[in-house]
Amino acid sequence: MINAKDLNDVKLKEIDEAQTLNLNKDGKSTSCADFGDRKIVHLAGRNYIACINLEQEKQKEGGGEVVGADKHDNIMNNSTTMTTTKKHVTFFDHGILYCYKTLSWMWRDDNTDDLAGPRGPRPSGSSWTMNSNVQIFEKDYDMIIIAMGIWELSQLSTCTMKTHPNSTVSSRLAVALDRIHRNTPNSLRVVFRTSAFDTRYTDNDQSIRDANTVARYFFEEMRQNASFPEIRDKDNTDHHDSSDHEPSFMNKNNDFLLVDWGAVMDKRSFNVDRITGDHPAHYGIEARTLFIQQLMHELVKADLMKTM
Amino acid sequence: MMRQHGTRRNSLVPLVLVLSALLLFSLNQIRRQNSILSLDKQSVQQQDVAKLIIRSNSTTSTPVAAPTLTEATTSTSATIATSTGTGSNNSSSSSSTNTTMIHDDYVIHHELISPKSTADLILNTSSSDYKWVGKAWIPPQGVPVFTPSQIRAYFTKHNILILGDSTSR
Repeated sequence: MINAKDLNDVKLKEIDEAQTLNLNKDGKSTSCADFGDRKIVHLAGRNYIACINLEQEKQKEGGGEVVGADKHDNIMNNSTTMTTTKKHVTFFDHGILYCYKTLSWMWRDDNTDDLAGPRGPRPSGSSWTMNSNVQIFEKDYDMIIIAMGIWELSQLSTCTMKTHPNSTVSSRLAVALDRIHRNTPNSLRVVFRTSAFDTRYTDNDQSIRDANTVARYFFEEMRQNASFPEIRDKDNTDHHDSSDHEPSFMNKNNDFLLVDWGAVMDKRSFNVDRITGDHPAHYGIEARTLFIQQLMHELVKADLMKTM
Repeated sequence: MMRQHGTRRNSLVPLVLVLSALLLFSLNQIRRQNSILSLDKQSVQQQDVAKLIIRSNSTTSTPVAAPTLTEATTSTSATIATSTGTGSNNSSSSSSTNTTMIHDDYVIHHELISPKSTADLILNTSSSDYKWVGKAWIPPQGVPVFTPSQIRAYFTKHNILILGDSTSR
């Protein structure tokens, strides 16, 4: 949709054709190195990324605020003696990520990350160092959208490699959400989308349902902690080590968001009701437009909450 | 001669009376006609108002700023109630399940449109509240479908990284 020629007449092929969807499929690297200014090329898994520059003509001669994208000075000048047109460029990139354990690793504590379970949020005001990946995220982006999970069902052996003994899909996701919550700087917004379902695992997908439930509980608890700090403080006292006396909640209620795509797609995942795609784990265009709408809903909601 | 004149004068009296009666009758007819026209006009106006009246089944969704029908047009409320076919008394208390509201010449409330602001509706719903009709998804009531222009405008203001598998593309 981002690249559609006419936004009043977005053609199906513009949002559903294989070339667009498979931009960075199967290890294809797409143009990120060509931009020269993408730090993501230094990220692990860099062979599986696709980069797009979105251009927006923002202002002419004189002042005027460039709205958004203020983290970076991605401005291309096209100057004449009289007028300066500034094309404001923002990044719209995609990186492949399959398993929750990799997600945990991406957001790992900067020191050794040997603790399997959740560690809880960092004490507010405490000093900490971002790991190299999070530093890249923080420098180049102001929003990260995480949309994964189906490999935890359909490629389980890949997702359990080198994981802690007895770990489950739910426990791996719980750690990943904990690490994101714990190690994301305040300038970065993160959106987590729940997983939908694979027709090859109909009636055998409880693990992904459990994981989605874990995500819902996590975000609900985070919301309640933000709404009722007195409960939060009591919980922290109850659950944390005695050495952890400082207020330990970092309020990311407006910047760590849940998009529950899995809950809605559940009704269109099985048998004749399935919105079919080109693969047992894929859906048709309706599922993708749903995700975009849900995403916008939660983003606008978070923006509104920030103004309250 | 004098007598003859007196006789003629006497004979004109009934004629004058008849003419006067005719004149009065005509005047009354004109008045009545005007009255009928006026009533018609009023009736049309009432019908127009009636068209503007939308009955709500919700009491909780009453906009604060809107005058009720009772407040706005008390004298015509009964006629309007009849014309809408409800037969109910619009001057009933605010606890009535049917709250009828107009604001000047504009409808500000409809049972199918929430009077809450879009922002309120977005704040009080979530991504899990979407429904389906066949293969078409339906947003929660009152939440707008974001247009491609809005979506592109939003994304071009942010530097975004999407991380995920093939279902994220």
